[in-house]
Amino acid sequence: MADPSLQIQHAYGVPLPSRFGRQDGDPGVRVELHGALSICTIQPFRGRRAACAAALKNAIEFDLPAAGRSNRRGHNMVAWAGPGMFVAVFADPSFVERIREALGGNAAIVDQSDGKVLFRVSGRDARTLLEKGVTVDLHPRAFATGHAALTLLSHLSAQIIQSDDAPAYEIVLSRAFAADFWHWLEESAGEFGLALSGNGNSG
Amino acid sequence: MTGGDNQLFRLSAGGLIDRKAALAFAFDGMTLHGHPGDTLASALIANGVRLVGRSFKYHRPRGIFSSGAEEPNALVELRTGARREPNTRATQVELYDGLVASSQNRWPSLSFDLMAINGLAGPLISAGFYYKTFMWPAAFWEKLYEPMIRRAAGLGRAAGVEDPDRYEKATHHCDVLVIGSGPAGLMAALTAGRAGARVLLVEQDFRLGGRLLDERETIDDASATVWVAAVEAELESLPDVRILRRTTLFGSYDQKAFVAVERVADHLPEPPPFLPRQRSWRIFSKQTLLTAGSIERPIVFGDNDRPGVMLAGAVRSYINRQAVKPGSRAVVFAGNDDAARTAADMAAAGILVAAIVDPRPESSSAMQVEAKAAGAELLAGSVVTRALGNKFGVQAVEIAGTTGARTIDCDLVAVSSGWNPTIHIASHLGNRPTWNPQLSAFVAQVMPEGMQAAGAAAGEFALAAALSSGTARGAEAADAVGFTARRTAIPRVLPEPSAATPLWRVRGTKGKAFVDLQHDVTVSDIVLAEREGFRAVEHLKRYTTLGMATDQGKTANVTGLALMAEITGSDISRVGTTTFRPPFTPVAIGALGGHARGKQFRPTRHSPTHRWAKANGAVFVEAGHWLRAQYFPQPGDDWLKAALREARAVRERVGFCDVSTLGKIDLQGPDAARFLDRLYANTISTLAVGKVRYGVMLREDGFVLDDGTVARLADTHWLVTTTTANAARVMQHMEFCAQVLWPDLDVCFSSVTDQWAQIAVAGPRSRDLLRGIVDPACDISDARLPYMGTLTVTICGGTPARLYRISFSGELAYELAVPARFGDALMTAIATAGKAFSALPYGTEALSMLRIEKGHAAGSEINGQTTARDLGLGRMVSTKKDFIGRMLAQRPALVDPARPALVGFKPVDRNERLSAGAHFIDVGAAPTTANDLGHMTSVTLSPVLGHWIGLGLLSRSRERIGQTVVAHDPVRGRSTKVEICDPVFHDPEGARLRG
Repeated sequence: MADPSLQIQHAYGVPLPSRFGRQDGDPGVRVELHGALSICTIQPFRGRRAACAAALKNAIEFDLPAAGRSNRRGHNMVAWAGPGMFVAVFADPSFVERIREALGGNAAIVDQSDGKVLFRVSGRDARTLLEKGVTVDLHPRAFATGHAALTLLSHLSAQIIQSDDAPAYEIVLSRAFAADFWHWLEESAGEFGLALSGNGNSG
Repeated sequence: MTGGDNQLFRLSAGGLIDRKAALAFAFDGMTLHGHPGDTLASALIANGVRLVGRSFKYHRPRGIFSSGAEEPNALVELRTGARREPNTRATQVELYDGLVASSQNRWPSLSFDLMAINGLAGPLISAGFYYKTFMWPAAFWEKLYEPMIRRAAGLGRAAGVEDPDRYEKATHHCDVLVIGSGPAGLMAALTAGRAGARVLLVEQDFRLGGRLLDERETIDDASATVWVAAVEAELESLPDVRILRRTTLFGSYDQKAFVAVERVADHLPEPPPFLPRQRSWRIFSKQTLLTAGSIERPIVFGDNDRPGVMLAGAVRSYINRQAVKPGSRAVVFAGNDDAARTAADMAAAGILVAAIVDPRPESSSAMQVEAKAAGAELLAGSVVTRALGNKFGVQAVEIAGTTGARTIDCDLVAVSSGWNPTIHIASHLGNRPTWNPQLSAFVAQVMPEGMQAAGAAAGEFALAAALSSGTARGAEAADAVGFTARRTAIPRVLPEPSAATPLWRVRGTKGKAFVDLQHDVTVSDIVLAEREGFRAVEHLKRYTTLGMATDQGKTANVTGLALMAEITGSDISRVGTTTFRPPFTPVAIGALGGHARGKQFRPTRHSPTHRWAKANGAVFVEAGHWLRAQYFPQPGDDWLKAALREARAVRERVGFCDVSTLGKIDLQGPDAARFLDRLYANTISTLAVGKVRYGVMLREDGFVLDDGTVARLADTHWLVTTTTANAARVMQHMEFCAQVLWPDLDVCFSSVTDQWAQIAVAGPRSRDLLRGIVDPACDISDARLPYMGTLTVTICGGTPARLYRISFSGELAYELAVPARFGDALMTAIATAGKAFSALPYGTEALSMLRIEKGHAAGSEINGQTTARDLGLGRMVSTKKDFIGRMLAQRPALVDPARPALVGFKPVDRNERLSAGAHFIDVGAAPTTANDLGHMTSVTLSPVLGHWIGLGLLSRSRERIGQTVVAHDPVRGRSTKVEICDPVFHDPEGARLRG
């Protein structure tokens, strides 16, 4: 989608990378906002789930995850996103088209690269921070790497995926909610110290 | 603050306080001092302050009565200015340097209170006073009685300005929740924690230990506080045990959910940066142990509310925990052996114990031993009938009994009538407590699922029993959630005497005998309630206000119930209890709201062109969760002037408007066309690829749900739009249809509202403008893209986009959709390309003007009470297929020709203004409901016609075109003659659309 004339503007209301909240010591929470990701939803048509799984495996070597789970390689992932729905997130902007070509006819593929924003939340206080936003039990005995949940974060619909054991989480929400998410984050993470980074910040 | 440290009532040794650090604080302007470890109450006692407040109804002088959450008297306003917080319990306020508190409910000052005259007028304001006195005349209530009562009564004053502090909410999940950190709670948490369970221990105090902090107990041959510290350290070391201190668990709810409030920064002058003042916790636990201890009961006697009358357990707490003396010369009045230790503790603290008054005829050997040791006279078979004294407190007590009537000087009366297990949390789900005659107390016999009580909360008052039941229940809880708990050895403790006979009240006393100190409910109020027939406990409560107010009768309810039982000659077990409801102690609304206040009360959605609109001076309006540009004012503009300019630009040249906020739903699948036919009232499946159709959908009940466009992008791929406000509702409706009504249809859909920025470009020059945006290789001529067509194009040198030729304004118009990241840039590009045509951006006000001129229904007309026929869309409704709402839309009332239907209006005098909401009546008819013919739904000053026009719903409107009715607007005081006309004011043939 490289374009010579129209400038990209990321979601409204997330400031440029900086340190927020308490300034002393290591930040307890690190948040990266990535723009320009390739995101799409995959909804297999009736009776086509197996065909979709095979085609996806063949095309990009990813399995369709079980309910409440995700499959990942680095920052690329395919996650469960509700009954009959999956979300794929890839760094390479060509992926939506690759998936569409691979699954065409077997599933509804909807580009959400601009409809969703993805925040990566990590740091020693990441789980404590999320206790202030989601009611899902994130204790390692209940929610582990690879788990995915659809829930409310504060009062925003969100999907939360644990991406590693540190733990780190990925939070996917609607682009129009980015400013409200940031408000919640700044209020809630201030006590831990918050380092915001990424290339999807709008300033 | 200045002033010397003058803590005359501080003991020279002992206590869990840091004597090296002095904390200065102010009470009613006096500067006083205390130490870390003090509560405000203990620090006031240390400084000899006895009078701390005035009572609610009679404004009687009151002192500190308890040492905990049950405190009825010592309510203060804490802090000043915006942080002023009324009705805080001095007994729970942790002292900090710079604390400022003032007494409340007094005027002009605490020691001289004019309202105390109410005490003399006592008989006038007995139970049921308000109900009896202020019934007539009704108008007096609002104007006279209520303001008077509000001034006279009430507790503290709210700050009245915005709270400067932050609050937040959090969630915790655990295997075992332990409520209270006394001996039972600590053993339970330790046992479950050692087994590996996820344990949450919640303690309302700033220090763990419960009553162990208040008594001189030994555990394992050392001071109990040493044991508490060791257990605390071990709990802290267990990775899955969490301790929340300064946290009150105040409510129990269904599905094993609990709510607690953590006072994160209430013990500091103001919250440190980045910390909230309070945090409310939602807690989900599999097993819950209620180890909340017990609350002591007073004995009711004459003038028992004087400062210096104090619960015996509180006296011990102040002596042992904070090393302060609540008095110098004391009388103990109690019928239980627990009180023996009160005498012992007082004697050890150097308080002279003048007498132990024991209503039991023989007292007990433990009492005799303790009385002797304390050098106190033991008056068995006796009672205190009245406290004598002045506003600064008790000076003597009158005693009657087998030893004869006498008066004994004292400044402290320690009273106890036993203890009530603290079972509120076990009762919140509706379980009624059960009377246990052995314990003479209500216990939680029927517990909510997954909850057990231990220790004093279970009526196991002795320390050994508390430790052992805490261990056993903790182990059972851990086992129940799949762990294997080891039953650890119970620590060694000394045996305690525990004989008790409750005495609720002393009969035949003089002076007021208070049952409920906070609400000034006396024995005679309860007698009166019974006499007037208010015998059922719920009636008793409401008639006398027993157990209401901030303490919810924690020291009063059971006594009141016992009195009602006594008066009616029934058993207390049959009298029952009133309903326990959350919260256990008062909770600030702010803590429940968390971040969700002000603009954060609900989510705000920002459109992908928000930045551009803001930079271009837009005034925003809330539409659903969205902020939309309402108009773009120039200097000196009001909204009307700005909107007229914007609308004229569209009619005369070209304008552009962000329509990204409209709901957009992507729909795919082999059965998508069939799904849409069932969803919409009109036929959709016949639409050709590359075409757009206007659609209207009904609710099951036949009324219109929403309208919008449907575009067929490919054979099995559709894009549906909804109105901004109804987007979520329509999505929900579609989910319901797909999942519940027609699970056989193979259709997938998802919201793409956020994915696309969509800009309407409208006006006679819109195509010319777009030629500067759309890449030259893309043909957008009328032939290639006629009205109601759609095309994929590239714009601005290669950006993929979709162009729809649809019009809400009635002009030649398009909507151009690009991925949201390009929204702001596209607005800039359109503004730049539009300069040649003097194009203007327009907002929702101009949008509304344009649609009213075209007679299009919008939110004011699609209001949930109108049918397709009412809106003039009757001919769209298919008769050839089934769809949602078809049957019920045929109900007689919905097809009644007299139903108000959409039509246009012009003022007969074209200079007159119309108002939305005005009701139509015939000329000359009285403006009554019976003559109501319908109402005006939308009005605007027409940019084309230059006068006001309106749309409205009028009975038999089509037949009446050309006639005149009156639009009557009683709200604005306008009555306007209006001419009924076709709702399409502009270009009725639609020639401009197809240009």
